[in-house]
Amino acid sequence: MSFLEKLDRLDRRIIFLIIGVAVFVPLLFRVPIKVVQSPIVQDIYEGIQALPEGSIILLSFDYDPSTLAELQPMSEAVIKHCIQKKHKMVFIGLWPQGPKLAQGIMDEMAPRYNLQYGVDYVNLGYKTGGLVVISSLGSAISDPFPTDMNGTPLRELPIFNEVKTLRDFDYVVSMSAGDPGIKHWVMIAKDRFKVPVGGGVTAVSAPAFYAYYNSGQLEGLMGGLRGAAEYETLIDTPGTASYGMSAQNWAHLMIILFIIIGNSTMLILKRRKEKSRVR
Amino acid sequence: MTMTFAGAIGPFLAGVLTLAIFSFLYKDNPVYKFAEHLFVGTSAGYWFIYNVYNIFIPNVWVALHEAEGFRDYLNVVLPVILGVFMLMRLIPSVSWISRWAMAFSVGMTVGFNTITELQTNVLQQIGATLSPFASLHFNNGGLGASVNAIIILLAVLAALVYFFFSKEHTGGYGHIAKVGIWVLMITFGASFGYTVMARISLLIGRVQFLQTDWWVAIKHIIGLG
Amino acid sequence: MITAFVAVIMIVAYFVPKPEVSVIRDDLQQWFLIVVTFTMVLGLLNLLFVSLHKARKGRKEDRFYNWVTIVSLLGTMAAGFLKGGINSPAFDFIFNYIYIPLSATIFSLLAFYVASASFRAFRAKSVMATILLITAFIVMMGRVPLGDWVTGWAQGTSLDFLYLPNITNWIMEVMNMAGQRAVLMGAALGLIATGIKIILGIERSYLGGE
Repeated sequence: MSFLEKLDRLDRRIIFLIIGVAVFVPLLFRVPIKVVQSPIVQDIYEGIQALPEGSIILLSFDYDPSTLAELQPMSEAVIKHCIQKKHKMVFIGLWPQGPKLAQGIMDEMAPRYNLQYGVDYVNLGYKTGGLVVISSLGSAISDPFPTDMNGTPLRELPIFNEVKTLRDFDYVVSMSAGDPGIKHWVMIAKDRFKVPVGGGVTAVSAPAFYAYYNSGQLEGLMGGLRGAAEYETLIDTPGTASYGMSAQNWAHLMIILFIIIGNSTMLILKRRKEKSRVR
Repeated sequence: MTMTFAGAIGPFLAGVLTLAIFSFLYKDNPVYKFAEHLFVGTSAGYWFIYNVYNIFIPNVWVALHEAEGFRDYLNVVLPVILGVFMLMRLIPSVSWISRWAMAFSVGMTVGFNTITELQTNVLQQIGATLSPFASLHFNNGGLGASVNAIIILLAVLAALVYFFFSKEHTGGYGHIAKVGIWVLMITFGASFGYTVMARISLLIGRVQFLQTDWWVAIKHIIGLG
Repeated sequence: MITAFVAVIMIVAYFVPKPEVSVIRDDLQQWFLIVVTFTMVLGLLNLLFVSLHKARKGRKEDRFYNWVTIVSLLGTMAAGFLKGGINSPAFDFIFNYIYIPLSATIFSLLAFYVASASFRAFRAKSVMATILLITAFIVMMGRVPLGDWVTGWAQGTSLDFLYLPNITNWIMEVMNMAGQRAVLMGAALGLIATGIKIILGIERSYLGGE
């Protein structure tokens, strides 16, 4: 068997090892990378930045741990931005794991920035039903969420003296890994109740949401780890996304090389076969 | 990062389970299978607990106790009855009754989706494609935006023509459909690039965890931390 | 009949903001939250029964793993019912150190399979496939610092259009957006057509047979 034939039949475990090393080694150096801004991420940053201090933001955690690596860094970045601007935050989840992931972030941030539960932020928890839950929020927040995630009635939480329905929020941010998610927030919160909606999605689904951004239905969007790194650069606070871009860089280079080598090998072997057939 | 010995056990276990899943890359093995089934069980248990505490307790139990008036009681009792009908699907002799609950769920979803899809994904999209033509100009820095608007209109039309299979793709119509395929190939290429980015990002997350939290936990457990 | 009745109420309520209609819509929305919760319980009970059956009568080599599923399911539920509920230390431990790492790692395996597929399967065998791959190359390079390193010299010059991040942004905001818009509209029209068929009773497969 020639070298090219051996290459064409390379054991996939060697490919696994190469990509593993391409990701592992750059991360050892822990170098944060500032990334070039794209307009779509800049717009969501500017949307939140332009809100007056003390605005009330609804953050919907619509993802689970399988997409933690992409969506948690952008969630942390948006929360840090809201804290910098002294905005108040209400967390909900259309996925069951979402509120607990939000709680994990706030367990660390609340004591660090002296945030008071019930005044500066509230976690309402999870409700199933997607579109229906969002529509219910339009009638009254207490309809789907009579209590917060710990069972405290909303009337005992000072933040809800200012917000009674979805229309009272100044901005909705949805970090979304699929259905239900940001699409449903656009359908109801933006198109029906005219509340600005922005958010973050996994890189897999990001291309599909450019149509909503172009039409103005989405104020802005962070797509995957790259989007999170851009937001971290904008708020000037490097986090896991900025540190991860070095590995992303090398891994993409390896994938491109794999495609080039794979296609070149195929072409050369194909030509050899055709030549030997002609002879 | 400060960590006590007790606090190190959790991250250490998390790292071991991470490596158990990664062992599948070498080949399928009992350690991977154990971790996989553990995931299925904890996932289902988690979903159940969250549904109890976040929905059943506030929206059924507490709502029933705080109900004032017949309508409030009906608004809890009737959906619970429908919910129990849904569970009858597990008993073959009475599974037909679950269709009532299913019909209700599907009716709600269809009623919502029919109008919102039309509004959000058809009318708004048509509007966004055509509205730039109200203020099209090719000077004073507007050339780029105007050219893009024209490209977008032609590309959307070409792709929609491709999707219309009731007419044969021949002649002039076929040429437009071919342009549509090119547009879709660029779209799918962009999606492919982003998909690669997404998959690599998930691996980056796990490697970051192993290099930070897990490594610190190991150092604490063996007394180096 | 039930499907059509409920769907029509939701459609009417969208266009008729009268209190009499809104009240019915709001009530039905509350009902939906509760009914869908029971659907989750149905899925859980189904998993439990199937796992129990396999654990007792399934293939001998797989019985242990089905017991793992059952024990972990019941263990997680028990932890959630301890004092503190969803905030109990045991439930927190299971979520943070068992559920999160397993969930995140299972999906991270895809990175390796994408790499393997890129070597063995992503072949430019036609003009269309070549267009797809070239676009993917540009996007993959433009979205990481690599694109900036390779074409950073062009930024701010008369050859600014060669700057890879700019090309990537244009591809995403113009060409990709146009294709995605067409897909979105096509899918929406299909969904609306199916919805109308369901409301009129022409489509009844969701009921699972007579």
